[in-house]
Amino acid sequence: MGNCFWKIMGNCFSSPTSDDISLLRGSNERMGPRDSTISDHLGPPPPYVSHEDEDHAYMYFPSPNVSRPASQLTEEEQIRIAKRIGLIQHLPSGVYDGSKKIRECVICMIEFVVGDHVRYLPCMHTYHVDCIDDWLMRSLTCPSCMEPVESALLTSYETN
Amino acid sequence: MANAQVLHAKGLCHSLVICNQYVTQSIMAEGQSTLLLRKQLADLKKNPVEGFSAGLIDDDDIYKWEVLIIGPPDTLYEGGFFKAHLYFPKDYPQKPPKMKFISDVWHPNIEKNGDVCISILHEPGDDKWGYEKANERWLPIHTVETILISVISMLADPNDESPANVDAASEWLTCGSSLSAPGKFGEEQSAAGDDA
Ligand SMILES: [Zn+2]
Ligand SMILES: [Zn+2]
Repeated sequence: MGNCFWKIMGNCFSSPTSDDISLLRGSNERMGPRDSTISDHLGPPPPYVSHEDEDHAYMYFPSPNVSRPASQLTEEEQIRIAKRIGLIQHLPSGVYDGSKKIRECVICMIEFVVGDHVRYLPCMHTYHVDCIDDWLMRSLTCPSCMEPVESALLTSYETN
Repeated sequence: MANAQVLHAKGLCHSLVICNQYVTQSIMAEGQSTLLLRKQLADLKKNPVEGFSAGLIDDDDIYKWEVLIIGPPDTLYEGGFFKAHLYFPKDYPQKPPKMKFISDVWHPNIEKNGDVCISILHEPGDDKWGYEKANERWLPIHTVETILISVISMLADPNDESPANVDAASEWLTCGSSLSAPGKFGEEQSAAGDDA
């Protein structure tokens, strides 16, 4: 398969080794005509630029399947996590009142019971507090509509 | 433990260093994931979904599933049955399961050892490569059904941006859909795993 035109932009990170990386980089270089398009993509990921700070906040889960106990986090990491928790706690929450409009928490797929603690995201999607808070620590997006919640959070946090 | 939970519920755990939120949550998570997986298993038994069948590898372990995927029509995999395993973490659905094909499947996004490399099974924090958009990553609303639907559509339409099997990727691209022998891309046609 000498003429591989496949755009190799990175291997699956489930099993990358440094060898894989250099190998892939190497084959990119040999691809000639496509070099420019490839190197465009090899830079820092454009869609994430504005979220750069947020991405570092995932340090609580330093890598997949690894979560470090709070005592082993650096001070900087602790501050970021504390900030994230602070932000999440400023999202409106309440007690489910039996409203017919929302019936089920789509994270745990369990129907809301009157008295459940629920959290309302700016997009108006509603989840159990326990279900969504854990998720928001990992990603500040609504799992149903992928609406980022951080901007809304930041404004309400600052005005508070 | 209980104290930490109370503090957390009252929003008094801003100094996270002493907050045991995650300790308590991981214990709660086990109950939640068990319930959620049992519910999905029951739903799939009651209302099977076209294109695959699903069950447990071992009836005593709700975290390990075995699925049989029917090669989607009009693809190189048509006519084949492909067995795969799903391994759920205790904190599912906050974290994604891992998926591995037991049957041989030759595909750009499936490692030669069977590991499925699909962006929706990657955690949102995994930004090492940075080529996936947030909405292509894992979401806690994914179920066995939505995962398998994504995998089935991946079989027909590989993601060219992150080949796990580079040989399959280049082969797919050079021969691609014009390849007329479906057997090439799935070796255990029809008899997938029934040898046991
Ligand atoms: Zn829930
Ligand atoms: Zn939403």
